[in-house]
Amino acid sequence: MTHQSPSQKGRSQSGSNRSLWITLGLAVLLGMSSFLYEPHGYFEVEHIKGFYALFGFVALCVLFIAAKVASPLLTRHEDYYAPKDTLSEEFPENQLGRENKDV
Amino acid sequence: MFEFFPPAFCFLSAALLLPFIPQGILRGLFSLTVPVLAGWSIWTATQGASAQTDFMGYTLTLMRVDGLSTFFGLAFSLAAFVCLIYAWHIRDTVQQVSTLLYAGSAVGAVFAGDLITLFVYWEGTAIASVFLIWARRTQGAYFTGLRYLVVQIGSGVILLAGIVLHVNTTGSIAFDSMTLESAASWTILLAFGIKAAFPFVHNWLEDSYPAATITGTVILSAFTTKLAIYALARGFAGTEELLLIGAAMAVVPSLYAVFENDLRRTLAYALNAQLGFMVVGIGIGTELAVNGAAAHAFASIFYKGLLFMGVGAVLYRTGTSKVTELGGLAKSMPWTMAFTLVGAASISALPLFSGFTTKSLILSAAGNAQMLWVWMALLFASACAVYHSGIKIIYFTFFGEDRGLTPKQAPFNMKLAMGITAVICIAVGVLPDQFYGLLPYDVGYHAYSVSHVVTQLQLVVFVVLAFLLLKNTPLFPAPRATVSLDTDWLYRKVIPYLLGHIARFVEHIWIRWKHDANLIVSNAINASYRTHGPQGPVARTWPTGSMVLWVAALLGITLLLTYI
Amino acid sequence: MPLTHETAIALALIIPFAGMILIGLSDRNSIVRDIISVLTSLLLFSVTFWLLREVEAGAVPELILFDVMPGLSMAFKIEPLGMLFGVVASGLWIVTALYAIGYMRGNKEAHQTRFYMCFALAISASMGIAFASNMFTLFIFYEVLTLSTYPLVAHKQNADAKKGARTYLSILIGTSIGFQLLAIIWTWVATGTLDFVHGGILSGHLDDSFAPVLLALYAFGIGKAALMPFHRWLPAAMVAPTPVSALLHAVAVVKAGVFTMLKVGVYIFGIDYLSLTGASDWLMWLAAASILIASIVAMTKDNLKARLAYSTVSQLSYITLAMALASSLGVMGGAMHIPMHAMGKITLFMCAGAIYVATHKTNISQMRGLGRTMPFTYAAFLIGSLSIIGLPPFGGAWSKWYILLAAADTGQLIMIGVLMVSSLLNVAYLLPVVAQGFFLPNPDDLSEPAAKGSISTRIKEAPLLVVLPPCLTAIGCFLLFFYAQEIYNLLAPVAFGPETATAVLGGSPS
Repeated sequence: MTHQSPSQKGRSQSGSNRSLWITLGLAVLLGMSSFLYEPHGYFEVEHIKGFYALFGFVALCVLFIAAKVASPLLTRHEDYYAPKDTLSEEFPENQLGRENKDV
Repeated sequence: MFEFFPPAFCFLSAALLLPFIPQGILRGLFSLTVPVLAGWSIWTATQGASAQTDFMGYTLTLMRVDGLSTFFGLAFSLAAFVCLIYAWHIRDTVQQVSTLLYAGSAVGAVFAGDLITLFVYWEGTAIASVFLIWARRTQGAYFTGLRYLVVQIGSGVILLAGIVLHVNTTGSIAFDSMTLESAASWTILLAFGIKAAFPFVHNWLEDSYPAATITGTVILSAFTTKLAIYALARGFAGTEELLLIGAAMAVVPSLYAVFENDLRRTLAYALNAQLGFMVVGIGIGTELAVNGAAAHAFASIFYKGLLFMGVGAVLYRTGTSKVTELGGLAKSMPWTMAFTLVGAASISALPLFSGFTTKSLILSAAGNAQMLWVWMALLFASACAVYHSGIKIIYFTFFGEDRGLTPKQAPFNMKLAMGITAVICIAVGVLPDQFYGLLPYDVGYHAYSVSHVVTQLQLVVFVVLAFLLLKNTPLFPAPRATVSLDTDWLYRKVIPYLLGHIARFVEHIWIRWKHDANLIVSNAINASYRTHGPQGPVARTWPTGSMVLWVAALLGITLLLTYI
Repeated sequence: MPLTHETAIALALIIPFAGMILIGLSDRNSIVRDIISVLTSLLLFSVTFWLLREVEAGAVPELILFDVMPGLSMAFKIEPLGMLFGVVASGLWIVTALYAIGYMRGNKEAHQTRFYMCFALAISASMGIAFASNMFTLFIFYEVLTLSTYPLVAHKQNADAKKGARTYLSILIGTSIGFQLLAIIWTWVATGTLDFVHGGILSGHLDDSFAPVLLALYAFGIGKAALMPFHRWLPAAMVAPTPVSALLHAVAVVKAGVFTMLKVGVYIFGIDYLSLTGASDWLMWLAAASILIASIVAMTKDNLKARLAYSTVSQLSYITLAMALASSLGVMGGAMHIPMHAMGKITLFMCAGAIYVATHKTNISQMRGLGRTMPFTYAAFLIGSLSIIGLPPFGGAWSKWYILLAAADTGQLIMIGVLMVSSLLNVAYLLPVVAQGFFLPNPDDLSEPAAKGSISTRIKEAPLLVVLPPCLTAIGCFLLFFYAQEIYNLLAPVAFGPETATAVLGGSPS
């Protein structure tokens, strides 16, 4: 819909790369810290080093795969329930305070 | 009659007065004083106090002040206060009145000491809240509101049936802990379960919340479901069946929250998943677990409210809340982003934010009870929440693909409401001991330990890492402009389709039958007109004339009958 | 002059009758005529209210006019159930009398004098039904009520009105002569009496296997109770002007039907006898079917009055169902449903009339967005609907409560289910009217922004005399929730037996 200049796209790309690197660094630090303290948990599994890290990572992968598999079955076009649904209609303009920034 | 004035009456009487106060600052201030007064009266109420009245032969307990009810009463009053600030700019009397009635009914239900009072307020929340959906004033909202209302009132009538059975078997109307051994308690559980959005009866939530007005969604998200959680905690703490229900509730909606396009509906699914945590807490039933359910309900009211407020503010300025139409708003709406981030951090249970100190109560209770699978399910749902409520909301609204939107900042009242809510979220995370002091039971629990902080950080950071790595791969479920099929598909598509066919068939038979029957009847009438009486405009003599004849004939038949 | 019980009963019958004659005499002067009509209703209500106080104090006012034959007399005796019906009919006549003035003038209807005369006569007949001491007296007034309302139904005198009126008359007269009279004669032959006696007169006089047959003759014979399949007269009667639909077809006539049904159940058969023989089991199922089918039919009706008429059919079957449950609590619930439903339904009909006077619209699909111009009417409609659905804090909640308790008490769990589903159906056919009125844009109103002016310029309500009465009855629905205790105390002797009367009056029932 909107045209994106290459520089904009490049900037968001680099920003995204930066956040990836920061997160990666944090992840490594946190992963290492598993070895620095004696965990106390309720279950055996919690004593596995880096259990939570692994769990978080795998959980999201599983979630994405499940969503990928399920979404063709469980999604339809926006107008599927029209007109008895709000998703297919615009939000009434008179209830909005749609104002743009003064440029 | 009463030891003190029930706080629900503050709301209800204010709702009746409100239309007579001029629209504007005066009305805004008036409605803001209501939750303050109610909250103050709850805060100062002595524990164990009650207000009773005799009515229709029953002793109704309008007020039961104990740890559980006080806690929820305070939470609702505070939520009402924040919501009213958020809705300060609304000039629609219908919404203003229904907000007060709705909040008042919720507060009233929490303090109800007997089932009849509970039922009255239970239905009150149903009726008052539907106007927040209808107030959108579109055709879609009209239909959605009707669906919502049927489900909500349905919950009420099921509750009524349960109460009637309960009264019939036990003779008591007291609302206390129940066991699932009679039809009555199962029925009551079902009624509570509908409002708590149990699996298969959950869909009213995802259907209706995104259909409400911008402020309406925020208000709706605070009360109905949390009231149901309160009712479950009061009536069914320690019911094992709730464990499975809660675990399923926590996991399945998370999946929908991933591919849902509308952000308000995404949040509704996320809300449903959070309710699953509370239901599990109630199912475990220990003091720690019920504390956890209550605490998490409190935290959820505010962080979920905050997220709804943030998305609402974006919707207010841009006219859309769909992932496929949003992006790159970080520059134009920085305050909204900051506050929404607090909400996202809270639901992700980052240390120093509210989810961290409340969710862990439930997880610890599950651990204490050695319920490995339940615990795993909740942990999985926690990881999912980091994505769909934390990353997804923030990333696709404020970052992601820039759609060239340059909206103005959110109005001041919205920012103020978000600010206050953000402070509450942080306060619960930073001052856990003071917060735990408010909980219904006294449990020595410490949220901050090295182990807990590190493991939780690991979970969150690795979810973020996974997201960043997978974002540009084909594995990533990219947003598309779709609508999700949920259980409502059954009653919105399948059943109408089947009924349509059946109706056409029945109609066909009916028309033929009617035709034949009409022929017979009209022949008979014509015959009787020919034989009896004149046909004057007011045919008075016709019936009286034929009466004598009929009496004679019928007398004969009667005599015959008695001698058979 | 101190009022005696006999004169009070006689007055209750004579006042509307005298009112009718005076109305006829003042044909020329419409203002005098209208004032007489309102004054008559006020006078009648003060008499019935006085009687109510007497009955509440434990009195049993009686009046015997004459004997027809030994053991059978034209006589009146007020018991609590009849008292309740009498007060409801006469009390709501006041608001309807006011409403009728506004409505008939607002619509410039013809033959207004005839209209008011028949109206008064119908009320007189209702009083006779309410206070009758035996089935014979009741039957006579029952027929008078049918005949006196016939001209009201046919009021417009066009083809539709005549057709509707013919259906009205043929079903009501047909069932009452064909079945009810037969049942009465059978009862007389079997027992030698037609008096209303608490606990019934049939026990020991009728072979148990015939009890369901006799009950069937009564149940179908009381066509005014609109039990399916003899319900068609009620939608047909909707061609009448709205005040008639409001008072007669929501209150006096149909309530006379279910009132008679309750009378038969309590005083002819006796609840214990019904419960012992199981004679009313089939009736319970038929009433349940009637509740659900009529509700579903109501959903398909686009004409507002037709929808309300089917809603009435459904709600009347609540009372029949309550009686057929054959339990004391059922009698309580059914009897309580008479005033609760009357107050709610009269509100709805008067609102429908107000919409008609203001806009001449009859179909719900044409009424989108009207709530914004007629907020008072629609607010009253909302409250009436909530009361009909049975939601607190409105009167309808209590009657439903007792009927549900009765169903639980007799172990009829399916009936609980039926009542629950019915509530939801009520939601589905009543509340869309309100929601469309308030929240959907008016298609006629193309200049929507202009309509957003100040409230005073936007509101285009019907005349005050048309809008005020439904608002009053809507408030009445709310008050009935809190005054249900009084009704409960009044009815306790009917439901739980006369001996409990004093105990209940003294303290709270348990």
